[in-house]
Amino acid sequence: MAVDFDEVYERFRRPVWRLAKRFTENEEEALDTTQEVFLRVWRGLPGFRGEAKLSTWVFQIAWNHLRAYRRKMGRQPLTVREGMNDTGVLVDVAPDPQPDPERRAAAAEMLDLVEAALRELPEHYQIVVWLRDGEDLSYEEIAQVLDVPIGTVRSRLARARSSLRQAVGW
Amino acid sequence: MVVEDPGTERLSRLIDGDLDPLETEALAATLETDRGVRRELEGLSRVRSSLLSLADRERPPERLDALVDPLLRGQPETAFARPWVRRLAAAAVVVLGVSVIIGVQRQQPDPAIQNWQERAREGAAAEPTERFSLAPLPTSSVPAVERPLGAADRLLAAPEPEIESVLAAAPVLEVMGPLDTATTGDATGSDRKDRDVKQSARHKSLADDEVRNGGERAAEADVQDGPAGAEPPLLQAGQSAGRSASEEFAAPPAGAQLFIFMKAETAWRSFDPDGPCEAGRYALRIRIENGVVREVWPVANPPAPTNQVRASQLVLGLEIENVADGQYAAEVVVEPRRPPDR
Repeated sequence: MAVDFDEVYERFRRPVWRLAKRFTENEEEALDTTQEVFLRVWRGLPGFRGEAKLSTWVFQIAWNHLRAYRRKMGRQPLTVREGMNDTGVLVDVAPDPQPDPERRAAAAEMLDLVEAALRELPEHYQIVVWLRDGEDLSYEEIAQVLDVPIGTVRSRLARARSSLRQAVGW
Repeated sequence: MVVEDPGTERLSRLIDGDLDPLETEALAATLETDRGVRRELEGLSRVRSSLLSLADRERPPERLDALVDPLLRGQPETAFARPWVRRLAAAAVVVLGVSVIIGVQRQQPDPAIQNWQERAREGAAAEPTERFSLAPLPTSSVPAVERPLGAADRLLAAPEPEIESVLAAAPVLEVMGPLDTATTGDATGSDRKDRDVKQSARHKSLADDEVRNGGERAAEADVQDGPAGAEPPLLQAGQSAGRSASEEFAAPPAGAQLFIFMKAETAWRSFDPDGPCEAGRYALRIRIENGVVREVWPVANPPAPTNQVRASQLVLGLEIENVADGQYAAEVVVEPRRPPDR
């Protein structure tokens, strides 16, 4: 199965970079990690036989690399911060074609809140909810990337979403 | 604290269209009557759309577009199959290897290695441990290894299959020097030094041989990242660099030393072989997952039948700290352990 590296790079550089930025929490490290991941992709591409979906394969390489990076850096999974339910700000963050400045600022503030709550989730919840809701991978794809049963994906996703909902007061 | 609620899971699956029609119908009835559940569903949906917005909001730096070296763009098979690229890779590794040998010969051994060698001479085995950390070899201080590498350089310097056979005569072994053995245990310091020098010369010669034969051997090995690799899980042999172990070592006594070299680092432990285990060097690839060696397979193909070691007994399941998941070139060196009551 011939896959062109250019195509892979064009298609996945942003998702991989987003994932790297999220889990390295550092711009430079995110770029370095993205580069490393694509070097691995480049090296492995001749052997890619299409047994897994391309997206699954690329994300799997990226996640394995990031997980090792985080272990090396000694990142500890955190628990949800207490007291985040008190914000009480309910802003519709659904796409708005022409939001006024106030509304846009409030939406950005709400996204910051969600972002902060997401970062506080333990790593294995964070990755599941990000791959599903941030990158739109299917349950099956997430299960393959993380090498866990699909039931685990379902339950972790539900718990992560529920924690985020409570953290931002929805 | 992560919230757990079986009802939440059904709502979450409803958002993703993962419920079957019966489950969907039952949940719809609940939603009609229960405002709390409706509100929870709304909140979960809002979380999903927020995360999507978060992903859209991320603005990648411009450098991302030019992050990967233009050399890599295009078909990887074609690029790396070019003869001049392969020759360049082999030449780069040989130059690096010779520099390391010269650098190491000019330096005193690292104190840690020296202490360890002294302990070995005094009859103490290397500290046996089931979980060991990799420590950098003294060669890691050689400037040629430490210089910043660009993407293309890193590819050339990486232990890729194309250059692995050249690395089989890895000069890092010279740093450790051979252990005293049952057959050479009475060697004086001077004898030992002579032998080290001879071994160093032999390795250099082997490296030269490898360069000459590199083209043919390169095609023998194979490696893949990701899930596509399907390699034989066990090592049955794998004599590296065309050297018989019996040239240097007698059959191991009751115990032996196992060394594992990977990525310019090394680790070792003592072990008591419970099967046929002949001393020697074995070029391997290993796959590490969650800090544990999960797969081992030989680089040499076909394996030499007269120099067999069940590497599965020695290496599989070993825990190695601070090593990222992935496949690595490794070299296992089995040497006889000197009897403590010398």
